[in-house]
Amino acid sequence: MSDFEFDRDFDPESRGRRGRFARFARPKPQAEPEQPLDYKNVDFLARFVSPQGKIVSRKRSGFSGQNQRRLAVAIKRARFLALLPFVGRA
Amino acid sequence: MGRERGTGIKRVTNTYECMVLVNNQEVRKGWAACKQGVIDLFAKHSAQVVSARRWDERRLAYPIKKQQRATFMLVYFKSEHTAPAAVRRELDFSDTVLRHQILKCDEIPPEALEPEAAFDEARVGEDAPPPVPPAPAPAAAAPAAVPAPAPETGSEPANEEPNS
Repeated sequence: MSDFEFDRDFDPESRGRRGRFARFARPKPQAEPEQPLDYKNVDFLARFVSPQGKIVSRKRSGFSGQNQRRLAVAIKRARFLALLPFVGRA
Repeated sequence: MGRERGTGIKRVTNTYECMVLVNNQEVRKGWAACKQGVIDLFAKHSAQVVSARRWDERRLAYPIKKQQRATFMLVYFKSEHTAPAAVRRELDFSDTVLRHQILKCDEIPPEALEPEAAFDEARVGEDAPPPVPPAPAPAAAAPAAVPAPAPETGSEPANEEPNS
């Protein structure tokens, strides 16, 4: 007998067509950048770079698609000017 | 914006922003001369430099041309759409410039027109001094004063070293 407990309150029909994955499809409130997404705004951009130097995903940044693209472009410009590292933490 | 007579080539004037990484060794020789040298590269290709000022001096995230630090210079200029390619080529050949990036911008920010802050050219490129460790706390009790030698009396002290 496994320890799995069946959720008696769970009703897939009430959550739409996606059933138990409906929670992933729920629209999230989209965060607006607190500061302009400019390559010169290094300290702000550094908040959206992982310790390995990777650009964080939309899931973590919370930005809209448009702002996430602006963020990525700004970080890449800052990397080119050696304001941010390509790999690792500066 | 206009069309050159007879050629059919459309002339477009844009505003551009250029970030230039200047070698600190050149900056130490003289910022004014170094800045003028970069501006001349723009003027050579009939670009009208609106603003050229020192943005920052900082440590690079990775070395460029074996330099760990550089002075960042931000230049705003107006030119025809053909000038940036020529300016880019000039900057590539310059020994003073470590790296550069030219972007088109819509408008010039007002802070770019402010006068440049003064800085010590001779100390450019020096790392910030390491943080001074906190001074050790003073001892709770001052060390006891050395006892004054006992006044000499007629009798010889027992621990006196023999004179030999």
